[in-house]
Amino acid sequence: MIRTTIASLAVLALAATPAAADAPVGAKAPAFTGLASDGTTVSLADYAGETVILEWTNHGCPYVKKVYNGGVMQDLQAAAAEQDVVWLTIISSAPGKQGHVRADEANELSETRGANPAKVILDPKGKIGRAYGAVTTPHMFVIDPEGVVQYAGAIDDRPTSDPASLEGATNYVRLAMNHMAAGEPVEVAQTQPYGCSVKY
Amino acid sequence: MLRVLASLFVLLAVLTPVRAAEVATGHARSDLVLAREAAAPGGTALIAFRQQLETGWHVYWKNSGTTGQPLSLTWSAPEGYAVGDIRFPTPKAKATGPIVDYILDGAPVFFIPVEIPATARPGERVRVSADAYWLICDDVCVPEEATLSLDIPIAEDVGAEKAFVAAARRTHPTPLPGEATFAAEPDLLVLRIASETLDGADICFFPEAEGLVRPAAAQTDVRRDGVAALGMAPDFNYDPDGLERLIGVLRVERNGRAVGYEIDATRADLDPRLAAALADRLAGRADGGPSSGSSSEPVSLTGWLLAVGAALIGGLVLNLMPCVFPIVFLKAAGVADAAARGEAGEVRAHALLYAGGVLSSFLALAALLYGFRAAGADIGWGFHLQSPAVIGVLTVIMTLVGLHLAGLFETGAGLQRAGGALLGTMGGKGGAFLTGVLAVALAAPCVGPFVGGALGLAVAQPGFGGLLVFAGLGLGLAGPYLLLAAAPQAALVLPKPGAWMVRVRQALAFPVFGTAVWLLWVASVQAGEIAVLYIGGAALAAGFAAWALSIAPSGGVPRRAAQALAAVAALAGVFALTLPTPAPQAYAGAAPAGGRLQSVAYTEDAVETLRAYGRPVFVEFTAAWCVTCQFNKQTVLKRPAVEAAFRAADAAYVVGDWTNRDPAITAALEAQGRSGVPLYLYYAPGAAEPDILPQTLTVDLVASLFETGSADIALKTTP
Repeated sequence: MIRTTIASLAVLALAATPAAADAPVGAKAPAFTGLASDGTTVSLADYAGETVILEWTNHGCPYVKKVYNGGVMQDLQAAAAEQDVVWLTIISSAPGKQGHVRADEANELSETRGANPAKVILDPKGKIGRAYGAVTTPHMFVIDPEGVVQYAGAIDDRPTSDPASLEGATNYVRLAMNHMAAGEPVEVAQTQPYGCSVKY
Repeated sequence: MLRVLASLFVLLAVLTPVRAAEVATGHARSDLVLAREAAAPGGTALIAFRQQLETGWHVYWKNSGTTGQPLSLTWSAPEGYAVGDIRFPTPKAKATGPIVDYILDGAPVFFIPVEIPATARPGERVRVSADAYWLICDDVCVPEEATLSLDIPIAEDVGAEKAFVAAARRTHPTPLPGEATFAAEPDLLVLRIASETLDGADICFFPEAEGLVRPAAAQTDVRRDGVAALGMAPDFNYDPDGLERLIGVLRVERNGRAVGYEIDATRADLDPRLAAALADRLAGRADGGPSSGSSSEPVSLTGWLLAVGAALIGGLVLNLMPCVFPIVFLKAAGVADAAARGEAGEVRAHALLYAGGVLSSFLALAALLYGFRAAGADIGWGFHLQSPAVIGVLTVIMTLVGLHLAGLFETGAGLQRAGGALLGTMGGKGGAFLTGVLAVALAAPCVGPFVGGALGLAVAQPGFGGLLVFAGLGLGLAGPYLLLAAAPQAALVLPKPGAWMVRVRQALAFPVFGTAVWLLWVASVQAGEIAVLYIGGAALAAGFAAWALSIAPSGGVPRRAAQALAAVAALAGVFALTLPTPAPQAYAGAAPAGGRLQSVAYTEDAVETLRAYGRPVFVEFTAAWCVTCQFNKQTVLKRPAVEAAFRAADAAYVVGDWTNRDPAITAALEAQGRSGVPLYLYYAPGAAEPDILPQTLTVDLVASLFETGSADIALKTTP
């Protein structure tokens, strides 16, 4: 079993080596182009010169439900919009897997959840997800106007799906956004992401 | 109707025993028990949080790997009772795409120490309770929670440890019998273990701290004389200068059995050449590692004779199995045809060629099997059906055979002789040989009564004796035709060929298509639904190619056009078959909705633990491609009477799924002297050894297992 595991890990490691570099903090964010739920084509390059937040999501995931039912994501999206920060929600669930949605369903989700991302990008083949090494939902990345990753990891410091944990949680993304707005270095730049696995 | 349902429901409710304080959540059953009968004032008692997880579902280790979340217990205990940290069983790695999680499955037991104050009074009972929260996942994740409580009797005499504790401890890491150090290079973390327990084993390190080692990166090791240097790729929280201790668990796995060792390594320098070698390997090549050969006891001559005899009978019976019968019937039709024309020589040639095809295929499979096993692959009988590619090829062949039988195309030899010429451009005699090959390829999943034990022996004992067993199986399968070859006039008793044969031939297309449908389903289980598309496309292309060839006039441009079309279609078929299919998935079996019987995934530890609970344990080894297994599942194991019997006896239902390769299950089968599925084991409560049940189950047999407490009586009353 372990032999197979190790063999497959080795294969994985080989296959994932470019992704192993992923999008580490301080490195240039991988460029991508994807189809958004509003029918447009979106590239990271479209937002050169702006701060961009990437949010990996899966509406069936209990951890995503925690932050959306508690209004945390929506508040953060509103705050981002206020500071002219671009918010891109990315769905990398493969067809047939949990969280996979068509464009109209994605739009409906945004409406019912009161979410306000600039775009929802549909990534059913997981190309963007793998390029960034996105492994959980939620998994957050904050990219500065120069295209450099300034934060990668969890939404907050409470790795649980328990709604009660939102009370008093430190939101790493808000923290990073505030530091960047103030022109300061991001204090907590990388954390262990938590949540459901991305359903590649 | 409603009333019947209602009373059934009440009956079930009455029959379902409620275990003390056991809580059933969506995919797990959990309880809280004391390791001993009581706890002593001033002492430390051990509490066990025991879970049984539904097959296919897992929970997480304390470092959950890339994703996931470990068990959390929030305790409420009276003043002075200090509840300690959770001790987790040894984890294993589970890879899904770029995600590698550290998981626990089966029936994990978590230990929690609790300090009893010296002021506790003997005779009193102290209640502690825990709000338990865990994430349980298969493809999707569900958080589950339960509040469990436990009354701890206080006494000076705490009694002996309960039986389950020893079994559960074996699933927990123990102190490493040896020394462990580590070296922290900028891009490489190396754990160095000096221990004799590592020889011939696969090792994997699970760090306790998150963000230290990349779970998804390969670990690679260099070994010499009981010393292993294990190289790992660092993760984002790695600080090569600040790291002072490396704490975690080393999982050591040999022949499908795993043990865990606690690692608390201190820092030591590393030979720079070794570091360079490891870094090199991590960057690229993977280490397959040699496999250790298995040793087994020699078998007596009588044992071999019995095995060959059983194989002969088993082979004979194979002729009647649903996967083989259409082929056999065709062969019979061909023989009857030849006999009717008075061509005794042809009857003999056909029969001998068919037998030759059968025999050489069995021997070739045996050689392959021995070869792979010698090379270290943990495989058993039916291994070729564990490959979606082989399933795909067989599906295409079955489709062609079916279309041919239905009369879509002919193979050139004319309708009367078509029964003997099965495939493509092969003439009647080549066709007879190929029919034999086909019969063997399709026979493997149908291996039924008598054969299991003999094949187990043959696989475990490579060499002349083993080959004889395989040959015996082939001789059995080809037996009726060999008799015909000896006495061709006997074929005259077969019905005379005539117009009826066309109808029978067409009718036989349907079981053949049925086999194709079943194979397609197996492929979908092995490689996901996309495999159905690829293989279906390949079958379509192959069918079109055969048809295009058969309608083309001989010679000239139309012929060449047809050939070109056929070639394109065949190429498209081959392309479809070679398309990448998703990673194999575990087969949980189609589960009926509603209050179904939950099964626990097979691991040796799970079986040991469940037995130690004092419950009857039923173990099913199965595979999606095994017809006998599926037949037993549908006609016996899923019947309400059987499920009710399981519930009434509170029997644990453990399922080992061998649809895809799994060395742990191969090892378990071999431990019972088998090399293939199905295999059914029953452990009566307290029994040291399992009863091996017949390969063909009946409802009465399974239901009566739990009444008699042993299979002995049940077996005797079964016809």
